Amino acid sequence: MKPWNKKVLAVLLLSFMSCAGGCWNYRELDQLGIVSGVGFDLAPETGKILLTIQVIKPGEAKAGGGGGSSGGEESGSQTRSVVVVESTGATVFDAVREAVTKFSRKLFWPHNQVLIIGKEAAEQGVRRFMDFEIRDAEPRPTAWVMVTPGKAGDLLKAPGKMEKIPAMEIAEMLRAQSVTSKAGSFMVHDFVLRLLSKTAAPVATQIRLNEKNEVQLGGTAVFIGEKLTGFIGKRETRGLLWVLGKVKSGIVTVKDPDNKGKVSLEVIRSSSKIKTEVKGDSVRIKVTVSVRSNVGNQNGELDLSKLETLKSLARREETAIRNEIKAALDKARELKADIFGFGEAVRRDHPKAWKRLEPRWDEIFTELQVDLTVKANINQVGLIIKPIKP
Amino acid sequence: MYHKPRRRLLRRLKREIAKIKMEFAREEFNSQSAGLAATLAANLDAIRRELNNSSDLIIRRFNLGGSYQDLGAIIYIDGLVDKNQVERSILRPLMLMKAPSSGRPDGDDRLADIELGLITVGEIKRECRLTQVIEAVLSGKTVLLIDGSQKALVIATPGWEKRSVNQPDSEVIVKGPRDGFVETLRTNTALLRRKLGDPRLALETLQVGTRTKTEICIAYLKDIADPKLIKEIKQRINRINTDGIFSAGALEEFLEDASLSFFATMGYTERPDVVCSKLLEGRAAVFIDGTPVVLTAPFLFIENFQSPDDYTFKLFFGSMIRWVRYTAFLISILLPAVYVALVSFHQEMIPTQLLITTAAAIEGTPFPVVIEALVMGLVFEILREAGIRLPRPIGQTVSIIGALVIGEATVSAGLVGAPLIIVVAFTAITSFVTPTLVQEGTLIRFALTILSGFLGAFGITIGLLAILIHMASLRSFGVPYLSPITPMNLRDLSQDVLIRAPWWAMFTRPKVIGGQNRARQDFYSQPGPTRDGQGEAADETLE
Repeated sequence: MKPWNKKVLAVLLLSFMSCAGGCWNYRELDQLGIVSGVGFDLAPETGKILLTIQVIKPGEAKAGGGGGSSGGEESGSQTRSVVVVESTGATVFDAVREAVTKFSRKLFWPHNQVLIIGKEAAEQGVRRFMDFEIRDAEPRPTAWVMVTPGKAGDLLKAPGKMEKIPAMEIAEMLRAQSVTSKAGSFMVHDFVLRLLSKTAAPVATQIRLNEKNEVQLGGTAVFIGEKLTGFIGKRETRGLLWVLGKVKSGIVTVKDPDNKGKVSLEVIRSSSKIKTEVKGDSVRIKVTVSVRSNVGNQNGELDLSKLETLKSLARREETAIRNEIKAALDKARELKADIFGFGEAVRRDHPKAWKRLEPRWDEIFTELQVDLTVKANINQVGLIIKPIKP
Repeated sequence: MYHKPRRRLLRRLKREIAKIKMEFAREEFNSQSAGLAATLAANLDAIRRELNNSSDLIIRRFNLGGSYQDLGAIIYIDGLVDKNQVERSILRPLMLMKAPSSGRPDGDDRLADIELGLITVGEIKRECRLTQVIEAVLSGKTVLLIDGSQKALVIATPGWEKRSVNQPDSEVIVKGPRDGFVETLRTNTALLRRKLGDPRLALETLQVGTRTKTEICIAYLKDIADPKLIKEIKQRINRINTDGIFSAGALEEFLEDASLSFFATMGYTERPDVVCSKLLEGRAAVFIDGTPVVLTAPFLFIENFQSPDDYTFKLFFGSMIRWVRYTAFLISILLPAVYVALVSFHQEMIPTQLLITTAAAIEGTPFPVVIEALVMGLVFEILREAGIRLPRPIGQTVSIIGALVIGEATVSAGLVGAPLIIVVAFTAITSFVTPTLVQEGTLIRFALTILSGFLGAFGITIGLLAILIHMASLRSFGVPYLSPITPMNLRDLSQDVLIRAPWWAMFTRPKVIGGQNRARQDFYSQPGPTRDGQGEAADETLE
């Protein structure tokens, strides 16, 4: 065979190869059902999982306005921009594949925004749900984990208000929570990391339907191991977030020093440090929270041009924050759940002592001595300095 | 068994070619050896015969000044000479005046007397072979024969129709000279000389084409250009043995290192200023008579992204525009392929909102996205091709129909998704940002789109790597095509690739091209307050 022929043959074979290898992962966009939210509940039949999947209907959900061929009805448009599919199965994956019997498209998971777990299902254990989220290549570990006191399916069926896709609206709400920090946002990734820890308690955002059938966020669901043990309120949630250093913004309202009104301080930045000290069997935890804030609003007649006033405001803010953290700590002790991850902190700092402490951590945690230091700093007082007063 | 007939065929072909070559050689020998006859009538007959008595051949017989016996004749081709000049500078003095005689009655000396005493044209030559005389007549010269002389005077009286020096349509720039080359070789070299007054500018003329006898001129700066490069170009030109060359593209294919590659390894321009700057960098230019396009060599890939405007605009904008071009080229080869890969393989990589919008737009379209992309790409190429060759008014109709009917109607009919139309249209526009890369870009674009339709992002990667390997293997007259990117040269990169350096900071010529005479300017050219000893002389003269 001549070298020239060899070259031609090589090129031909290569081009055949590109055809033969092709299409293994080929899927047209219009064959995919883009999942925007998923809910896990227990099916009435015991042992089975009831999966509620919210799938986007792109034609209706398009950002550029209703328009199109079937424009018109305004009231129904929000619910019609998604399809909610329910299916049951022994495992999540089983249920996912089962969904195709009621649905024309292959489910596509990477764009899933929220993952809601019903109370009953959460009390039974969430490992089987998380396994699918982490093991399968499609779902992303950046989806938000939430727990509802009711049924997860009901939340996914509830219509959204602003967005066309209700699950997207929930995700947006969660992102917007950072202005109050009264609900934490926890990704699948964070949640699974805590599931892997022997002592830290997994936490997830609490979500529920209120009396008006609206979706409402606030509070936190607390797990021990893989099982839900209870919920903590908004105040305690912020206490938790202070310790975790996850408060990005929020309003702390304090009484003003003259007792004439109240001042709302807007948190600009906060950070936290956890230090541990082990002496024999006694463990001390030192938590330092530093907060920077601005004066946002006041009801009273405070003259903010004086440094002392600002300092006393800062002291009051520190007390308020300390109280929030204390509330969270009390609640955590009550639930016997190490939601702050103090155990992990001890393990990092004192790996040798930790081997000894770990089996008794539940007891130690309830009697843990926690020193709280809160350093507040007020930076700006807004565009006006003095109160509006002649 | 299998080889035999083929070998026999080859042998026969070789014999055939040898025979033809022999014939050629004999003919050439015969015609070259033929000198001019001593009598005017015989010469005129020979010329008439050689030129087939063509209707544009003008032979004017006359009596030399005063006498009735001394016959002479001028021969020229109608339309190639300036008739006024022929009449004023040749016919009138010859017919009305007598040449100051040197006394000898010999015919050749009379010709010398006429040359020295009567004819008032600058460029003049004596020839004694018939072929040379005929060649001269055909190239637009006037030939003077007199009875009794075996020599002929070849007088340059060019006067054919030519275009005036205009701004070239293909290379319009904003802030720079407006002159462009024309179809006449001499005008073109003159334009270059006007820009480059250096005595070291060498113009070497060669002839190509056994029938077209096209004059080709190699221009270079003797002390900057690599002598090996010039030798190589001359060798390659001399090797050409074809009947005719009349376009730069044809010559380019004969000269290129890799003429089978889809990348051009010779540059072309119609602008004297561009040729001038390329010569200053150590390149050589090849002028071809009859075309305004001048070839430059060696040609590097990055030259596709350089425009004369870069050097006349302020340097910040010039540098930015460079990067705009790089980006535009990447977009023009990659966008459809990336779109296809994202939409049919890697949907998880599209942001959610964009995914929803895209999905909504392509919902219900009947064909796979790859097919859509290829077909719409083809439609665009068809529209472009149709628009280029048509007269302007019809061309506009075509583009309107193309834009409205094909763009708008296909989307509203639900045949093609709207995002794809945006992709194709945007790609089309970006591909025109680098006009010299349109051909390459189009081919690469289609290849990558097909690959990405089969293999997604892997296909794009494979395709890009293959192209990169090919480009890295290319040479233009011995210079790596991708230099100075690879092999890397930091100085060249920072002077003219990553940014367009200020003029006073372009200290050196590109290493791979002008390496033998690299220094370009003094290090202290940056404007600023007067330094020691510098600029004082100027101050003194002011006072």
